[in-house]
Amino acid sequence: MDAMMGIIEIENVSLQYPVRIGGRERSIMAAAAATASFGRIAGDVKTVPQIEAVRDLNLSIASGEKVGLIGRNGSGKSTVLRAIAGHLYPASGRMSVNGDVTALFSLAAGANGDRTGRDNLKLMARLLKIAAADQGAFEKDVFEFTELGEFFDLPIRTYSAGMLIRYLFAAMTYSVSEILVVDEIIGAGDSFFFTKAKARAEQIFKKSNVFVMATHSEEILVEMCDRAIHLHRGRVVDDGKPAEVWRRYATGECS
Amino acid sequence: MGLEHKMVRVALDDLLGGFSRFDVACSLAWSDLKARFERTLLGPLWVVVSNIMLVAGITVVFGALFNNPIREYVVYVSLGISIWTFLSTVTAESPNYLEMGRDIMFTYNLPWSLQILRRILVQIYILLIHMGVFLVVALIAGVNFTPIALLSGVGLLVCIVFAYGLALGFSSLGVRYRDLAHAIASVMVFLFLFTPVFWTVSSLGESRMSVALFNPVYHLIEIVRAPIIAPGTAGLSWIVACCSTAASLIWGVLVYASRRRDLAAWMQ
Repeated sequence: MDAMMGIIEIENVSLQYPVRIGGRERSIMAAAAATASFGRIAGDVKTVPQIEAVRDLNLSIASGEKVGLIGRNGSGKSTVLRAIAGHLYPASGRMSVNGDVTALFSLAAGANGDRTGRDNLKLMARLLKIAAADQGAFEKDVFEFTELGEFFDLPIRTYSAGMLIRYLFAAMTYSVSEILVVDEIIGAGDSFFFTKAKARAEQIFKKSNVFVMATHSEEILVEMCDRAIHLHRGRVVDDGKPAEVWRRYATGECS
Repeated sequence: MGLEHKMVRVALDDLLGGFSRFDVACSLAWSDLKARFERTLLGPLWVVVSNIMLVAGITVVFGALFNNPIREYVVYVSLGISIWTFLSTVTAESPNYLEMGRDIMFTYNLPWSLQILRRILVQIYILLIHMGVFLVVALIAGVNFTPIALLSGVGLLVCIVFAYGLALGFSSLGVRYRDLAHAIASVMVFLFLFTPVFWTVSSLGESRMSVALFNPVYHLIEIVRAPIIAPGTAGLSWIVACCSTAASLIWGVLVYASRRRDLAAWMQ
Protein backbone atom coordinates (compact mmCIF):
# COMPACT_ATOMS: atom_id res chain seq x y z
CA MET A 1 0.00 0.00 0.00
CA ASP A 2 1.15 3.52 -0.71
CA ALA A 3 2.43 4.94 2.54
CA MET A 4 1.15 8.41 1.66
CA MET A 5 -2.37 7.22 0.97
CA GLY A 6 -4.81 6.99 3.83
CA ILE A 7 -6.32 3.74 4.99
CA ILE A 8 -9.76 5.20 4.34
CA GLU A 9 -10.20 7.64 1.46
CA ILE A 10 -13.58 9.24 0.85
CA GLU A 11 -13.88 11.69 -2.05
CA ASN A 12 -17.06 13.61 -2.87
CA VAL A 13 -19.13 10.72 -1.61
CA SER A 14 -22.91 10.89 -1.41
CA LEU A 15 -24.83 8.21 0.42
CA GLN A 16 -28.54 7.75 -0.09
CA TYR A 17 -31.47 5.82 1.26
CA PRO A 18 -34.66 5.19 -0.70
CA VAL A 19 -37.59 7.15 0.70
CA ARG A 20 -40.61 4.98 1.36
CA ILE A 21 -43.82 6.93 1.36
CA GLY A 22 -46.62 5.33 -0.59
CA GLY A 23 -45.75 1.71 -0.08
CA ARG A 24 -46.20 1.23 -3.80
CA GLU A 25 -42.47 1.33 -4.38
CA ARG A 26 -42.26 -1.84 -2.31
CA SER A 27 -44.78 -3.78 -4.38
CA ILE A 28 -43.62 -6.20 -7.01
CA MET A 29 -47.11 -6.14 -8.52
CA ALA A 30 -46.78 -2.40 -9.10
CA ALA A 31 -43.29 -2.86 -10.52
CA ALA A 32 -44.55 -5.57 -12.87
CA ALA A 33 -47.46 -3.37 -13.97
CA ALA A 34 -45.09 -0.47 -14.62
CA THR A 35 -42.77 -2.66 -16.68
CA ALA A 36 -45.59 -4.22 -18.68
CA SER A 37 -47.18 -0.83 -19.43
CA PHE A 38 -43.87 0.90 -20.21
CA GLY A 39 -44.39 3.12 -17.19
CA ARG A 40 -47.92 4.28 -18.00
CA ILE A 41 -49.33 2.48 -14.99
CA ALA A 42 -47.59 3.04 -11.65
CA GLY A 43 -44.61 4.51 -13.47
CA ASP A 44 -43.53 6.29 -10.30
CA VAL A 45 -42.29 3.04 -8.72
CA LYS A 46 -39.46 2.97 -11.24
CA THR A 47 -37.89 6.10 -9.81
CA VAL A 48 -37.86 5.92 -6.05
CA PRO A 49 -36.99 9.25 -4.42
CA GLN A 50 -33.75 9.12 -2.50
CA ILE A 51 -32.84 10.95 0.65
CA GLU A 52 -29.23 12.04 0.84
CA ALA A 53 -27.94 11.15 4.28
CA VAL A 54 -24.41 12.20 3.37
CA ARG A 55 -23.47 14.76 0.71
CA ASP A 56 -20.17 15.38 -1.00
CA LEU A 57 -18.21 14.03 1.89
CA ASN A 58 -14.44 14.30 1.79
CA LEU A 59 -12.49 12.50 4.41
CA SER A 60 -9.09 10.94 4.61
CA ILE A 61 -8.15 8.79 7.55
CA ALA A 62 -4.51 7.83 7.87
CA SER A 63 -2.90 4.78 9.41
CA GLY A 64 -2.94 4.95 13.21
CA GLU A 65 -5.70 7.53 13.59
CA LYS A 66 -8.42 7.16 16.22
CA VAL A 67 -11.37 9.12 14.93
CA GLY A 68 -14.53 10.11 16.76
CA LEU A 69 -17.60 11.22 14.78
CA ILE A 70 -19.92 13.61 16.58
CA GLY A 71 -23.05 15.43 15.56
CA ARG A 72 -26.75 15.49 16.26
CA ASN A 73 -29.11 12.62 15.53
CA GLY A 74 -29.56 12.29 11.79
CA SER A 75 -26.30 14.04 10.98
CA GLY A 76 -25.03 11.01 9.06
CA LYS A 77 -22.63 9.45 11.58
CA SER A 78 -24.04 5.93 11.34
CA THR A 79 -24.38 6.19 7.58
CA VAL A 80 -20.69 7.00 7.23
CA LEU A 81 -19.81 4.07 9.49
CA ARG A 82 -22.00 1.73 7.44
CA ALA A 83 -20.27 2.83 4.26
CA ILE A 84 -16.83 2.24 5.79
CA ALA A 85 -18.01 -1.20 6.94
CA GLY A 86 -18.92 -1.96 3.31
CA HIS A 87 -22.67 -2.28 3.80
CA LEU A 88 -23.72 0.86 1.96
CA TYR A 89 -22.28 1.85 -1.38
CA PRO A 90 -21.89 5.47 -2.48
CA ALA A 91 -24.37 6.81 -5.02
CA SER A 92 -21.58 9.00 -6.35
CA GLY A 93 -18.00 9.78 -5.58
CA ARG A 94 -15.06 7.54 -4.82
CA MET A 95 -14.35 5.59 -1.74
CA SER A 96 -11.59 3.17 -0.83
CA VAL A 97 -11.11 1.23 2.36
CA ASN A 98 -7.78 -0.58 2.44
CA GLY A 99 -7.99 -3.35 4.99
CA ASP A 100 -10.32 -5.70 6.81
CA VAL A 101 -13.06 -4.05 8.83
CA THR A 102 -14.61 -5.18 12.11
CA ALA A 103 -17.92 -3.42 12.71
CA LEU A 104 -19.49 -3.19 16.14
CA PHE A 105 -23.02 -2.00 15.36
CA SER A 106 -25.15 -4.33 17.38
CA LEU A 107 -24.14 -6.93 19.88
CA ALA A 108 -26.89 -9.51 20.00
CA ALA A 109 -26.37 -11.14 16.60
CA GLY A 110 -25.79 -14.84 16.38
CA ALA A 111 -26.47 -15.63 20.05
CA ASN A 112 -29.18 -18.09 21.04
CA GLY A 113 -30.93 -17.38 24.33
CA ASP A 114 -31.56 -21.05 25.04
CA ARG A 115 -27.89 -22.02 24.92
CA THR A 116 -25.33 -21.53 27.64
CA GLY A 117 -22.68 -18.86 27.47
CA ARG A 118 -20.10 -21.50 26.74
CA ASP A 119 -22.15 -23.12 23.94
CA ASN A 120 -22.89 -19.83 22.23
CA LEU A 121 -19.18 -19.10 21.99
CA LYS A 122 -18.72 -22.17 19.77
CA LEU A 123 -20.96 -20.77 17.04
CA MET A 124 -19.73 -17.22 17.54
CA ALA A 125 -16.15 -18.42 17.11
CA ARG A 126 -17.09 -19.64 13.64
CA LEU A 127 -18.83 -16.39 12.77
CA LEU A 128 -15.82 -14.42 13.99
CA LYS A 129 -13.41 -16.65 12.05
CA ILE A 130 -11.58 -17.74 15.18
CA ALA A 131 -9.51 -20.85 14.44
CA ALA A 132 -10.44 -24.08 16.21
CA ALA A 133 -7.04 -24.05 17.89
CA ASP A 134 -7.83 -20.68 19.51
CA GLN A 135 -11.22 -21.78 20.77
CA GLY A 136 -9.90 -22.54 24.25
CA ALA A 137 -8.15 -19.19 24.57
CA PHE A 138 -11.30 -17.45 23.29
CA GLU A 139 -13.50 -19.08 25.93
CA LYS A 140 -10.99 -18.34 28.68
CA ASP A 141 -10.68 -14.71 27.64
CA VAL A 142 -14.44 -14.12 27.58
CA PHE A 143 -14.91 -16.00 30.84
CA GLU A 144 -12.30 -13.90 32.62
CA PHE A 145 -13.45 -10.58 31.27
CA THR A 146 -17.12 -11.12 32.01
CA GLU A 147 -16.64 -12.62 35.50
CA LEU A 148 -19.80 -14.61 34.93
CA GLY A 149 -18.79 -17.47 37.24
CA GLU A 150 -21.37 -20.27 37.18
CA PHE A 151 -23.60 -18.23 34.87
CA PHE A 152 -21.19 -19.11 32.11
CA ASP A 153 -22.79 -22.55 31.97
CA LEU A 154 -26.40 -21.30 32.13
CA PRO A 155 -28.58 -20.28 29.17
CA ILE A 156 -27.85 -16.68 28.28
CA ARG A 157 -31.51 -15.74 28.57
CA THR A 158 -31.01 -15.97 32.33
CA TYR A 159 -28.40 -13.18 32.23
CA SER A 160 -29.16 -9.67 33.39
CA ALA A 161 -28.92 -6.94 30.75
CA GLY A 162 -25.54 -5.84 32.08
CA MET A 163 -24.16 -9.38 32.10
CA LEU A 164 -25.34 -9.94 28.55
CA ILE A 165 -23.69 -6.80 27.25
CA ARG A 166 -20.44 -7.66 29.02
CA TYR A 167 -20.58 -11.17 27.58
CA LEU A 168 -21.31 -10.10 24.00
CA PHE A 169 -18.87 -7.22 24.08
CA ALA A 170 -16.11 -9.55 25.23
CA ALA A 171 -16.90 -12.10 22.51
CA MET A 172 -17.15 -9.52 19.74
CA THR A 173 -13.87 -7.83 20.63
CA TYR A 174 -11.72 -10.92 21.13
CA SER A 175 -10.05 -10.44 17.79
CA VAL A 176 -10.38 -7.27 15.76
CA SER A 177 -9.22 -6.43 12.27
CA GLU A 178 -7.03 -3.63 11.12
CA ILE A 179 -9.95 -1.22 10.91
CA LEU A 180 -12.47 -1.07 13.72
CA VAL A 181 -15.80 0.74 13.36
CA VAL A 182 -17.96 1.31 16.44
CA ASP A 183 -21.45 2.80 16.62
CA GLU A 184 -21.82 3.94 20.22
CA ILE A 185 -22.37 0.83 22.21
CA ILE A 186 -19.71 1.32 24.81
CA GLY A 187 -21.84 3.77 26.75
CA ALA A 188 -24.13 0.86 27.65
CA GLY A 189 -23.98 -1.14 30.84
CA ASP A 190 -23.26 -0.22 34.43
CA SER A 191 -20.42 1.99 35.54
CA PHE A 192 -18.39 -1.03 36.55
CA PHE A 193 -18.69 -2.35 33.02
CA PHE A 194 -17.79 1.02 31.65
CA THR A 195 -14.49 1.10 33.51
CA LYS A 196 -13.75 -2.46 32.46
CA ALA A 197 -14.94 -1.92 28.93
CA LYS A 198 -12.77 1.16 28.70
CA ALA A 199 -9.72 -0.82 29.69
CA ARG A 200 -10.57 -3.52 27.15
CA ALA A 201 -11.57 -0.98 24.54
CA GLU A 202 -8.25 0.82 24.92
CA GLN A 203 -6.48 -2.49 24.63
CA ILE A 204 -8.32 -3.56 21.47
CA PHE A 205 -8.16 -0.12 19.92
CA LYS A 206 -4.42 -0.39 20.28
CA LYS A 207 -4.52 -3.69 18.43
CA SER A 208 -6.53 -2.21 15.59
CA ASN A 209 -4.69 0.22 13.39
CA VAL A 210 -7.52 2.58 12.57
CA PHE A 211 -10.51 3.16 14.71
CA VAL A 212 -13.64 5.15 13.82
CA MET A 213 -16.44 5.62 16.33
CA ALA A 214 -19.66 7.55 16.55
CA THR A 215 -20.34 8.95 19.97
CA HIS A 216 -22.47 11.39 21.94
CA SER A 217 -20.14 11.37 24.91
CA GLU A 218 -17.46 14.00 25.46
CA GLU A 219 -15.67 11.75 27.90
CA ILE A 220 -15.35 8.88 25.44
CA LEU A 221 -14.40 11.22 22.61
CA VAL A 222 -11.63 12.95 24.50
CA GLU A 223 -10.23 9.86 26.14
CA MET A 224 -10.28 7.47 23.23
CA CYS A 225 -9.86 9.53 20.09
CA ASP A 226 -7.10 11.73 18.80
CA ARG A 227 -9.19 13.32 16.07
CA ALA A 228 -12.79 14.45 16.09
CA ILE A 229 -15.05 15.11 13.13
CA HIS A 230 -18.27 17.03 13.52
CA LEU A 231 -20.96 16.12 11.00
CA HIS A 232 -24.00 18.24 10.37
CA ARG A 233 -26.66 17.28 7.84
CA GLY A 234 -24.33 14.92 6.07
CA ARG A 235 -21.38 17.31 5.76
CA VAL A 236 -18.16 17.79 7.69
CA VAL A 237 -18.37 21.11 9.53
CA ASP A 238 -15.43 20.73 11.87
CA ASP A 239 -12.36 18.55 12.08
CA GLY A 240 -9.55 18.68 14.61
CA LYS A 241 -8.45 17.95 18.16
CA PRO A 242 -11.25 16.24 20.14
CA ALA A 243 -11.41 18.69 23.05
CA GLU A 244 -11.59 21.74 20.76
CA VAL A 245 -14.05 20.24 18.30
CA TRP A 246 -16.28 19.19 21.19
CA ARG A 247 -16.11 22.69 22.74
CA ARG A 248 -17.16 24.33 19.50
CA TYR A 249 -19.89 21.68 19.00
CA ALA A 250 -21.25 22.15 22.53
CA THR A 251 -21.24 25.94 22.36
CA GLY A 252 -22.83 25.89 18.93
CA GLU A 253 -20.02 27.75 17.21
CA CYS A 254 -20.12 25.29 14.37
CA SER A 255 -23.39 24.17 12.80
CA MET B 1 -19.91 2.42 -15.78
CA GLY B 2 -16.81 1.82 -13.66
CA LEU B 3 -18.93 1.68 -10.55
CA GLU B 4 -21.40 -0.80 -12.05
CA HIS B 5 -18.53 -3.00 -13.15
CA LYS B 6 -17.13 -2.97 -9.62
CA MET B 7 -20.51 -3.90 -8.14
CA VAL B 8 -20.68 -7.05 -10.26
CA ARG B 9 -17.29 -8.00 -8.83
CA VAL B 10 -18.56 -7.38 -5.30
CA ALA B 11 -21.61 -9.54 -5.94
CA LEU B 12 -19.63 -12.38 -7.48
CA ASP B 13 -17.05 -12.29 -4.67
CA ASP B 14 -19.96 -12.43 -2.26
CA LEU B 15 -21.48 -15.46 -4.00
CA LEU B 16 -18.20 -17.36 -4.20
CA GLY B 17 -17.32 -16.28 -0.67
CA GLY B 18 -20.50 -17.95 0.54
CA PHE B 19 -19.15 -21.27 -0.70
CA SER B 20 -15.68 -20.72 0.70
CA ARG B 21 -17.28 -20.23 4.14
CA PHE B 22 -19.52 -23.26 3.67
CA ASP B 23 -18.58 -24.57 7.11
CA VAL B 24 -20.17 -21.50 8.72
CA ALA B 25 -23.35 -21.97 6.66
CA CYS B 26 -23.51 -25.58 7.87
CA SER B 27 -23.06 -24.60 11.53
CA LEU B 28 -25.73 -21.92 11.24
CA ALA B 29 -28.12 -24.30 9.49
CA TRP B 30 -27.49 -26.94 12.10
CA SER B 31 -28.17 -24.53 14.93
CA ASP B 32 -31.35 -23.31 13.14
CA LEU B 33 -32.55 -26.89 12.98
CA LYS B 34 -31.67 -27.53 16.62
CA ALA B 35 -33.39 -24.32 17.68
CA ARG B 36 -36.53 -25.30 15.81
CA PHE B 37 -36.92 -28.54 17.74
CA GLU B 38 -35.46 -27.45 21.05
CA ARG B 39 -37.48 -28.56 24.06
CA THR B 40 -39.77 -30.81 22.06
CA LEU B 41 -39.92 -34.43 23.07
CA LEU B 42 -39.70 -35.85 19.54
CA GLY B 43 -37.23 -33.28 18.20
CA PRO B 44 -36.47 -33.76 14.49
CA LEU B 45 -38.84 -36.73 14.51
CA TRP B 46 -41.59 -34.15 14.04
CA VAL B 47 -40.39 -33.82 10.45
CA VAL B 48 -40.91 -37.57 10.04
CA VAL B 49 -44.31 -37.52 11.72
CA SER B 50 -45.75 -34.72 9.60
CA ASN B 51 -44.32 -36.26 6.43
CA ILE B 52 -45.91 -39.64 7.22
CA MET B 53 -49.24 -37.96 8.01
CA LEU B 54 -49.32 -36.16 4.69
CA VAL B 55 -48.26 -39.17 2.63
CA ALA B 56 -50.68 -41.47 4.44
CA GLY B 57 -53.56 -39.04 4.05
CA ILE B 58 -53.00 -38.54 0.33
CA THR B 59 -52.45 -42.26 -0.26
CA VAL B 60 -55.67 -43.27 1.48
CA VAL B 61 -57.92 -40.62 -0.05
CA PHE B 62 -56.56 -40.23 -3.58
CA GLY B 63 -55.49 -43.86 -3.85
CA ALA B 64 -59.15 -44.76 -3.46
CA LEU B 65 -60.37 -41.95 -5.74
CA PHE B 66 -58.00 -42.83 -8.57
CA ASN B 67 -58.21 -46.59 -7.95
CA ASN B 68 -54.44 -46.80 -7.68
CA PRO B 69 -52.80 -49.93 -6.27
CA ILE B 70 -51.70 -48.86 -2.76
CA ARG B 71 -48.19 -50.34 -2.91
CA GLU B 72 -47.11 -48.43 -6.01
CA TYR B 73 -49.05 -45.31 -5.16
CA VAL B 74 -47.57 -44.81 -1.68
CA VAL B 75 -44.05 -44.98 -3.12
CA TYR B 76 -44.98 -42.48 -5.82
CA VAL B 77 -46.54 -40.03 -3.37
CA SER B 78 -43.84 -40.32 -0.73
CA LEU B 79 -41.09 -39.47 -3.20
CA GLY B 80 -43.06 -36.74 -4.98
CA ILE B 81 -44.02 -35.03 -1.72
CA SER B 82 -40.42 -34.94 -0.51
CA ILE B 83 -39.19 -33.11 -3.59
CA TRP B 84 -42.26 -30.87 -3.80
CA THR B 85 -41.91 -29.86 -0.13
CA PHE B 86 -38.27 -28.97 -0.63
CA LEU B 87 -38.81 -26.91 -3.80
CA SER B 88 -41.94 -25.15 -2.57
CA THR B 89 -40.60 -24.34 0.91
CA VAL B 90 -37.41 -22.81 -0.46
CA THR B 91 -39.34 -20.81 -3.07
CA ALA B 92 -41.98 -19.56 -0.64
CA GLU B 93 -39.55 -18.61 2.14
CA SER B 94 -36.72 -17.23 0.04
CA PRO B 95 -38.03 -13.62 -0.18
CA ASN B 96 -37.36 -13.40 3.58
CA TYR B 97 -33.97 -15.10 3.67
CA LEU B 98 -31.88 -11.93 3.75
CA GLU B 99 -34.19 -10.12 6.13
CA MET B 100 -34.04 -13.12 8.49
CA GLY B 101 -30.26 -12.99 8.44
CA ARG B 102 -29.85 -9.24 8.90
CA ASP B 103 -28.32 -9.38 12.40
CA ILE B 104 -25.50 -11.59 11.25
CA MET B 105 -25.10 -9.79 7.91
CA PHE B 106 -24.60 -6.42 9.58
CA THR B 107 -22.48 -7.67 12.45
CA TYR B 108 -20.01 -10.20 11.15
CA ASN B 109 -17.59 -9.90 8.30
CA LEU B 110 -19.15 -12.70 6.25
CA PRO B 111 -20.53 -12.91 2.70
CA TRP B 112 -24.23 -12.08 2.63
CA SER B 113 -25.05 -14.95 0.31
CA LEU B 114 -24.15 -17.20 3.23
CA GLN B 115 -27.60 -16.43 4.64
CA ILE B 116 -29.20 -17.93 1.53
CA LEU B 117 -27.02 -21.05 1.67
CA ARG B 118 -27.82 -21.41 5.35
CA ARG B 119 -31.59 -21.51 4.86
CA ILE B 120 -31.36 -23.85 1.89
CA LEU B 121 -29.16 -26.18 3.92
CA VAL B 122 -31.88 -26.38 6.57
CA GLN B 123 -34.30 -27.50 3.86
CA ILE B 124 -31.72 -29.97 2.51
CA TYR B 125 -31.44 -31.55 5.96
CA ILE B 126 -35.22 -31.87 6.03
CA LEU B 127 -35.22 -33.26 2.49
CA LEU B 128 -32.72 -35.92 3.56
CA ILE B 129 -34.96 -36.91 6.47
CA HIS B 130 -37.90 -37.19 4.04
CA MET B 131 -35.78 -39.30 1.69
CA GLY B 132 -34.98 -41.57 4.62
CA VAL B 133 -38.71 -42.02 5.23
CA PHE B 134 -39.17 -42.71 1.53
CA LEU B 135 -36.49 -45.42 1.58
CA VAL B 136 -38.26 -47.18 4.45
CA VAL B 137 -41.59 -46.91 2.63
CA ALA B 138 -40.00 -48.22 -0.60
CA LEU B 139 -38.40 -51.19 1.16
CA ILE B 140 -41.66 -52.11 2.86
CA ALA B 141 -43.52 -51.78 -0.44
CA GLY B 142 -40.94 -54.06 -2.04
CA VAL B 143 -39.60 -51.64 -4.67
CA ASN B 144 -37.01 -53.30 -6.87
CA PHE B 145 -34.07 -50.85 -7.04
CA THR B 146 -32.00 -51.08 -10.23
CA PRO B 147 -28.55 -49.46 -10.66
CA ILE B 148 -30.36 -46.69 -12.58
CA ALA B 149 -31.87 -45.60 -9.25
CA LEU B 150 -28.52 -43.96 -8.46
CA LEU B 151 -29.47 -41.31 -11.03
CA SER B 152 -32.02 -40.07 -8.50
CA GLY B 153 -29.12 -38.71 -6.47
CA VAL B 154 -28.02 -36.65 -9.49
CA GLY B 155 -31.65 -35.56 -9.90
CA LEU B 156 -31.69 -34.36 -6.31
CA LEU B 157 -28.55 -32.31 -6.91
CA VAL B 158 -30.16 -30.71 -9.96
CA CYS B 159 -33.23 -29.81 -7.84
CA ILE B 160 -30.98 -28.25 -5.18
CA VAL B 161 -29.15 -26.09 -7.74
CA PHE B 162 -32.50 -25.05 -9.23
CA ALA B 163 -33.73 -24.01 -5.78
CA TYR B 164 -30.50 -22.10 -5.09
CA GLY B 165 -30.90 -20.08 -8.28
CA LEU B 166 -34.50 -19.18 -7.47
CA ALA B 167 -33.62 -18.35 -3.86
CA LEU B 168 -30.82 -15.99 -4.97
CA GLY B 169 -33.20 -14.03 -7.15
CA PHE B 170 -36.21 -14.03 -4.84
CA SER B 171 -34.22 -13.22 -1.71
CA SER B 172 -32.65 -10.15 -3.26
CA LEU B 173 -35.98 -9.02 -4.75
CA GLY B 174 -37.76 -9.74 -1.45
CA VAL B 175 -35.65 -7.17 0.41
CA ARG B 176 -37.38 -4.42 -1.51
CA TYR B 177 -40.70 -5.95 -2.55
CA ARG B 178 -42.78 -6.83 0.48
CA ASP B 179 -45.61 -8.47 -1.47
CA LEU B 180 -43.33 -10.93 -3.26
CA ALA B 181 -43.72 -13.59 -0.57
CA HIS B 182 -47.52 -13.32 -0.78
CA ALA B 183 -47.48 -13.51 -4.56
CA ILE B 184 -45.30 -16.61 -4.48
CA ALA B 185 -47.43 -18.25 -1.78
CA SER B 186 -50.58 -17.92 -3.86
CA VAL B 187 -48.88 -19.26 -6.98
CA MET B 188 -47.59 -22.25 -5.00
CA VAL B 189 -51.10 -23.34 -4.03
CA PHE B 190 -52.08 -23.28 -7.68
CA LEU B 191 -48.90 -25.05 -8.71
CA PHE B 192 -49.39 -27.83 -6.16
CA LEU B 193 -52.67 -28.81 -7.81
CA PHE B 194 -51.14 -28.63 -11.27
CA THR B 195 -48.04 -30.67 -10.51
CA PRO B 196 -48.20 -34.47 -10.64
CA VAL B 197 -47.34 -35.08 -7.01
CA PHE B 198 -50.45 -36.94 -5.93
CA TRP B 199 -51.83 -37.76 -9.39
CA THR B 200 -50.09 -39.31 -12.37
CA VAL B 201 -49.61 -37.77 -15.79
CA SER B 202 -51.15 -40.79 -17.52
CA SER B 203 -54.41 -40.30 -15.59
CA LEU B 204 -54.84 -36.88 -17.26
CA GLY B 205 -55.45 -38.35 -20.69
CA GLU B 206 -53.82 -37.17 -23.94
CA SER B 207 -55.73 -33.92 -24.29
CA ARG B 208 -54.67 -32.38 -20.98
CA MET B 209 -51.21 -33.82 -20.64
CA SER B 210 -49.67 -30.45 -21.54
CA VAL B 211 -50.67 -29.21 -18.05
CA ALA B 212 -47.81 -31.32 -16.72
CA LEU B 213 -45.44 -31.18 -19.66
CA PHE B 214 -45.13 -27.40 -19.63
CA ASN B 215 -44.49 -27.35 -15.89
CA PRO B 216 -40.76 -27.42 -15.06
CA VAL B 217 -41.51 -28.56 -11.50
CA TYR B 218 -42.97 -31.77 -12.91
CA HIS B 219 -39.72 -32.48 -14.75
CA LEU B 220 -37.62 -31.69 -11.69
CA ILE B 221 -39.64 -34.16 -9.65
CA GLU B 222 -39.58 -36.69 -12.46
CA ILE B 223 -35.76 -36.83 -12.70
CA VAL B 224 -35.69 -38.01 -9.09
CA ARG B 225 -38.80 -40.18 -9.26
CA ALA B 226 -38.47 -41.92 -12.62
CA PRO B 227 -35.06 -43.58 -12.06
CA ILE B 228 -36.58 -45.44 -9.12
CA ILE B 229 -40.16 -46.05 -10.22
CA ALA B 230 -39.87 -46.38 -13.98
CA PRO B 231 -36.14 -46.57 -14.87
CA GLY B 232 -35.09 -45.19 -18.21
CA THR B 233 -38.25 -43.28 -19.05
CA ALA B 234 -37.41 -39.67 -18.25
CA GLY B 235 -35.25 -38.51 -21.15
CA LEU B 236 -37.30 -35.39 -21.89
CA SER B 237 -37.51 -34.54 -18.19
CA TRP B 238 -33.73 -34.53 -17.85
CA ILE B 239 -33.43 -32.07 -20.72
CA VAL B 240 -36.15 -29.75 -19.41
CA ALA B 241 -34.96 -29.98 -15.80
CA CYS B 242 -31.34 -29.23 -16.68
CA CYS B 243 -32.31 -26.30 -18.93
CA SER B 244 -34.64 -24.91 -16.24
CA THR B 245 -31.89 -25.23 -13.67
CA ALA B 246 -29.37 -23.43 -15.87
CA ALA B 247 -31.95 -20.69 -16.48
CA SER B 248 -32.77 -20.40 -12.78
CA LEU B 249 -29.12 -20.18 -11.81
CA ILE B 250 -28.29 -17.56 -14.45
CA TRP B 251 -31.35 -15.51 -13.54
CA GLY B 252 -30.54 -15.76 -9.82
CA VAL B 253 -26.94 -14.66 -10.25
CA LEU B 254 -27.95 -11.76 -12.52
CA VAL B 255 -30.62 -10.52 -10.10
CA TYR B 256 -28.29 -10.86 -7.13
CA ALA B 257 -25.49 -9.06 -8.97
CA SER B 258 -27.74 -6.16 -9.94
CA ARG B 259 -29.44 -5.85 -6.52
CA ARG B 260 -26.49 -6.48 -4.21
CA ARG B 261 -25.48 -2.83 -4.15
CA ASP B 262 -28.82 -1.56 -2.85
CA LEU B 263 -29.63 -4.32 -0.38
CA ALA B 264 -28.36 -2.48 2.69
CA ALA B 265 -30.15 0.77 1.82
CA TRP B 266 -33.50 -1.04 1.53
CA MET B 267 -32.88 -2.92 4.74
CA GLN B 268 -32.38 0.17 6.91
